[in-house]
Amino acid sequence: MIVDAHLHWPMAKPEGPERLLAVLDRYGIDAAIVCGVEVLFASKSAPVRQWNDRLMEFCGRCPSRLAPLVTVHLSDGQAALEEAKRCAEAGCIGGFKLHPWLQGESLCLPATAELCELAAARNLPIMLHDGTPPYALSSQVGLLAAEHPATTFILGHSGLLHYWREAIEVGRRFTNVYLTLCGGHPWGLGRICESVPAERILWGSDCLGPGGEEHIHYRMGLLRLLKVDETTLAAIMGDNACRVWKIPPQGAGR
Amino acid sequence: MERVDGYCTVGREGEEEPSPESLLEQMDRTGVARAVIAPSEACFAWANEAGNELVLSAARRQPDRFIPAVTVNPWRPDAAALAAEYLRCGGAILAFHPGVQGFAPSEGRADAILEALLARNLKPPVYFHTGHHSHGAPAQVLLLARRFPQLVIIMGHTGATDYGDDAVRVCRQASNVYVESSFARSSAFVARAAQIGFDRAIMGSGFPCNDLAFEWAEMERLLPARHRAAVLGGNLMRLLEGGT
Repeated sequence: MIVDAHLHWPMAKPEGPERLLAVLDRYGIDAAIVCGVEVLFASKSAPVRQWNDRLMEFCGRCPSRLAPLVTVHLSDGQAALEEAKRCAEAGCIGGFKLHPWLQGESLCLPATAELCELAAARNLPIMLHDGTPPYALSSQVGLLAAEHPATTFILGHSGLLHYWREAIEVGRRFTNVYLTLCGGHPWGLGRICESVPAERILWGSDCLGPGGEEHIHYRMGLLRLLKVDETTLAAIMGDNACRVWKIPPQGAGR
Repeated sequence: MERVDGYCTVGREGEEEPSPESLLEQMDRTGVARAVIAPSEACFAWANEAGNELVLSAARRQPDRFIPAVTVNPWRPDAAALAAEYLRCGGAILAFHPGVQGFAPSEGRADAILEALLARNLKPPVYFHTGHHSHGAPAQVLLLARRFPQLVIIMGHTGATDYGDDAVRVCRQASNVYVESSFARSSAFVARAAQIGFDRAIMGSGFPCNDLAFEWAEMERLLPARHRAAVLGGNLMRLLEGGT
């Protein structure tokens, strides 16, 4: 079972998921946790709600293989929380995705804490881009994890190239944090696997949409370089994600 | 076509990084003729002499295989003299690691070293690790490159990850800046090289953090055939021979 736990797909074109599913099939990926693209840059002319609706509808056409992570803009305050609640009540989302760097939003904004509590109450994880100061260091996600121990946080990149040691420390200190092998180099990925419990490690491609399949090819190649046993590799490549997102076992409706 | 790896790191006994001999084995298995070898981060930060001596002695043992990149921490009061000494002893590239050495290329911290080298008619390619936030952004390298138009500046890692788009814009503004591929992910690097010019692109594996064989296979798979000879070795050798 292979699950791409960190994948983006644009929603601007009114297309169904067939193209994405074909990409997943090409690489033998059973399921994907899908984030939007445009929503990360949303403005008043293209409201967040519209992008989240499109993403939910897109994934809803193949719910056994696709789970959406919706995005809110924390600086919207109460409106962000209402949007998060609306999406959660739709009953089909896999959680939330925040990209503090691209969104230009500090995790110190008041709405952050309420979003974390909402996510915990709904048993929905929050994935964050990490590895980029000043708003998205792995340690800043660690701070959130300390403040909200009932919320599940996912480091979308496990510190990227420069903060993977910090991501390891976050993973060791906070059991409510998962680390995604996505964006680091093999040396760092290997250290993560040695240092953080395997049941809290995921794999992701960070594929950015059509034409971005090389992300998948490259990052699957890096996984094959990991010196881990088969059980651990299976956990990282999909079993852990199946548990987090309650994805049905092998087959997933393909 | 001689395949030349534009950036590898080797370590001393007791360091995590493998020895030059271990790298040589990997190069032989992968068909890489030559490789730039640079010291570990610890040697960039403070043990400059030990790191430089390691890469220089390895290059003396294998002069046809290793291209030594030497370093000095710009905070050292003797940095300029030390850099000149190690370049005279065989250092082919002068490398800086701003994130580890604690300076921003945009500021003048390394300028005295480069000015002293130019005064001695030493013009090695100067390699900057980029991608570290606030200490090694491509835009910072641009400011330095503009101050030293007579020097070849190699932008290590092409700003990976978050400054990758900046790297293209910087190269458009400074013709003396070249890009090196390690950690920039082959597909992204090839796309950026197409915008910058393949004659300014240098393949580096980033060994040992990256897997040497895997990175070479990926780059060869994705590079347009007509640019392979240049990117996989020709460009770097041209710069080392004093060309631009």
